[in-house]
Amino acid sequence: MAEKDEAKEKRKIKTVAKMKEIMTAYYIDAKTAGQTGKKVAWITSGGPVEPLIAMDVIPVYPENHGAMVGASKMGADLCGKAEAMGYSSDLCSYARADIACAPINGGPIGGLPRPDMLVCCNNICGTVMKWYEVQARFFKVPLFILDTPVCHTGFSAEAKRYVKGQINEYIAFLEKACGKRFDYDRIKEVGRLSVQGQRLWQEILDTAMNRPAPISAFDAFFHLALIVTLRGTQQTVDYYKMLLAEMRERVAAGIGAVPREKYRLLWDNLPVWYRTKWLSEKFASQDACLVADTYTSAWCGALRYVDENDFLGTMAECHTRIYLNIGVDVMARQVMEMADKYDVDGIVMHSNRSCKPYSFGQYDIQRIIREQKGLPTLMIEADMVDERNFSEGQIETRIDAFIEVLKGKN
Amino acid sequence: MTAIADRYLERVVCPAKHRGLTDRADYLVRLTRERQAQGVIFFLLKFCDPHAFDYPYLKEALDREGVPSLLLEVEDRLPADGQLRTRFEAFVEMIQ
Ligand code: SF4
Repeated sequence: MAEKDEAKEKRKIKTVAKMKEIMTAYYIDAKTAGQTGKKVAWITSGGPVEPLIAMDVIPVYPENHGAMVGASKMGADLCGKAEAMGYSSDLCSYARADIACAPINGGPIGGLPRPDMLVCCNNICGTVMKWYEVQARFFKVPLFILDTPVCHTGFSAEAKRYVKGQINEYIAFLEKACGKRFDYDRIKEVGRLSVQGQRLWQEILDTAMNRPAPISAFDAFFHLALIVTLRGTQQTVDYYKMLLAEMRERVAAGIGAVPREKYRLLWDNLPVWYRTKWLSEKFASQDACLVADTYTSAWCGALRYVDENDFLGTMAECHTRIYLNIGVDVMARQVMEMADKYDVDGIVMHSNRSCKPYSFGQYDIQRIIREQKGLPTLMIEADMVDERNFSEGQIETRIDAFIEVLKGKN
Repeated sequence: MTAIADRYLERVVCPAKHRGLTDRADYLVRLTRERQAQGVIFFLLKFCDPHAFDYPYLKEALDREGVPSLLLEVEDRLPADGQLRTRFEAFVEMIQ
């Protein structure tokens, strides 16, 4: 028994404590912004945060807050409250939870700090635009919308011009909201740190190419917070250096994320925030490790298009050509590339009731993968935050059946 | 061509697009006043997120005007005839 505990202890990621420290300090900073005179902007997860950092504005992510609501298992209650306010239960549960939190300072941290401005990029979905309109009316603050047309396969010159023009409008918007000039030197530095952070994040995820994988998707869901919220800061770079070093040590020592890694799987879609522990234990008990996922890797996808030396100039392309804003066939290709890269035995797809842009093409992607790669796929129907849409018995049966398929193949 | 473009720019904006924070509510209120409508029926197609997001604030705007409204959520196929009739009749009765 003692030995078992020791092994378990060894598998724990040590930098977790540091991460919690950073996130706590960040939220305290954001929540006390009213007293320190700093401005707060709410921004979507796919939005360009670097100009905010360059302007000393504290970025706050309602989607990250939504994830916290989910992880604290407060989703069903808050979503129910939004429904009582008249919002349909078919709407994204991040939006529902956040809309319900605002008037009552609800949720795990007693509500988000009041925004001075809202920055919304619709590259991830149309939901965020409607959601931010609701909040702009509620808080009576200016709203900036960065409109990124869907680019199925390429990025046309017209689309480029259109989005680039908006980046300039974004800067003008910030200058007005902050009452000061934009610092074009500072953005270069912030941009450099952002790219460095993204590269480190990619390297961390790539350590999972090793057998056994030192990090699982479940770990990545947790460590993701910094590349989303504090991208472009030195702190994020330092933290990921630490995490990368730890992952490399684990690789050298042969420490895996799960005790006996036999099956390597790829996860698609957002996590099921209120069930990450249950799911990770369930897969681990079957000797399966989720070695990669399409979700956390989205925050380094822009590395393909970024030019470090022209950060502002390439910002339009980086924010338009993201995973959720491309055609289904290109998505399928990217999933298959990941399947090869991480050498997986199967794919687990979370058909997420909340996130239509992520879930809509999944059945097509599943079919393409089956036809072109012959990889088995498992579809789990759930929701990232609203636990009323999670049926444990049914999901457990499906996972067990899927593992049987994998066993038969090996 | 210009006429087509104008039409797109000037029509009451579809909720999937953004134009101002209260454009649609302003329009709805203006229309109810102009036509002296005594009630409004919201016909919400299930899974149409943009309309579903707008419904609460549109209803609120009507409430402020003292205009009663009815919400009907429908799937791609309409519910049985009788069902709709009962709801409409109850609503009309309430208005009178
Ligand atoms: S619909 Fe999907 S992409 Fe949009 S906010 Fe919700 S979870 Fe995020």
